[in-house]
Amino acid sequence: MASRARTPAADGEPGDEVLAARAQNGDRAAFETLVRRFTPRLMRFLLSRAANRADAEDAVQQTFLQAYRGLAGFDVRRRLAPWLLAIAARELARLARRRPPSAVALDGVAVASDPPADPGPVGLWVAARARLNPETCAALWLRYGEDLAPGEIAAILGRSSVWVRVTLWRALRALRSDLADVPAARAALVGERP
Amino acid sequence: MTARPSREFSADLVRQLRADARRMDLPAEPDLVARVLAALPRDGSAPQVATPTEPPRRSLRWVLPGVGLAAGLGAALLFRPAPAPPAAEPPTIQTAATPAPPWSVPAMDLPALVLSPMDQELADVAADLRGTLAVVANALPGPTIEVP
Repeated sequence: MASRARTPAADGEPGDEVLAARAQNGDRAAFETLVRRFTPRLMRFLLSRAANRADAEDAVQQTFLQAYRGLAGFDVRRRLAPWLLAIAARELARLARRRPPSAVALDGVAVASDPPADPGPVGLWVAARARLNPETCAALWLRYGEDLAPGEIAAILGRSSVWVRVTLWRALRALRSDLADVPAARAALVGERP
Repeated sequence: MTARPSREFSADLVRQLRADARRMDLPAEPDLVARVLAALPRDGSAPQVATPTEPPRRSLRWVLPGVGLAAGLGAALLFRPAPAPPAAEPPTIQTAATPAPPWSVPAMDLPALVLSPMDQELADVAADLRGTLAVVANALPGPTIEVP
């Protein structure tokens, strides 16, 4: 993957941190470019954790508002993506705290009021979403979908770096054992011929 | 082909995860982008507000008790009772007479000085025991026993 974490510019566009530095100096267009660039990525991350799409969208909006207000304090020598993703995770958690408890029917069965949030995982991510809990799946996505380091993932998820490493190891082991049970999947994955 | 070792299988798994992540559709979300851009402040100034990692603000539920406590302390200081005027003469305390120092005891009273209260008590207990022993011994049949 051309590293998503430091979005550079394959086609000559300035990198994230360059745009952030310009935005710090009052270049609103640079910040708008960052909004366009990061909105899909933030949505992808938040949709895997949010209860519904509306929450994810609200969290994205709050993330950029917070980022705009706090951009003066951002160190442009660091990477922008983990910073934005950390804000996004915090905003989603804040929205979840404000949300009233989900509707519960009289017989105690939760009423599904919203459609599932994330429409489209692909390939192994389908299995990961089905097999792993949301936080583990988020850690896996940040590691292999966003190419973030375990320390950066730990800061985003509010966990320790050791927790991230162990969780990733367990997630891979779980996926591996699931796939090993399906010879065709394993063959397709490692290129074996039956 | 034989099965590959699991470590290599894990590497393939990671590679496949990365490849699938690249293939995942990231829609441009134009409506959401427009909504975010519309929500941004339009004052044209560079963002100068606090960082998003600002500490949590104190909520009213903690501020009010703090204000109440401070007010209570202030009132207690303001309305504290005036200190009592010092007594004209401090009361005298009658204490038991202290024993005379050894150098003031006459030479004839030296044994009394040497016999401490503890020794006196032990001597009393020994005398009691002696009496009891004599009673018990003489209650038994046989010759009379002289207890010293």
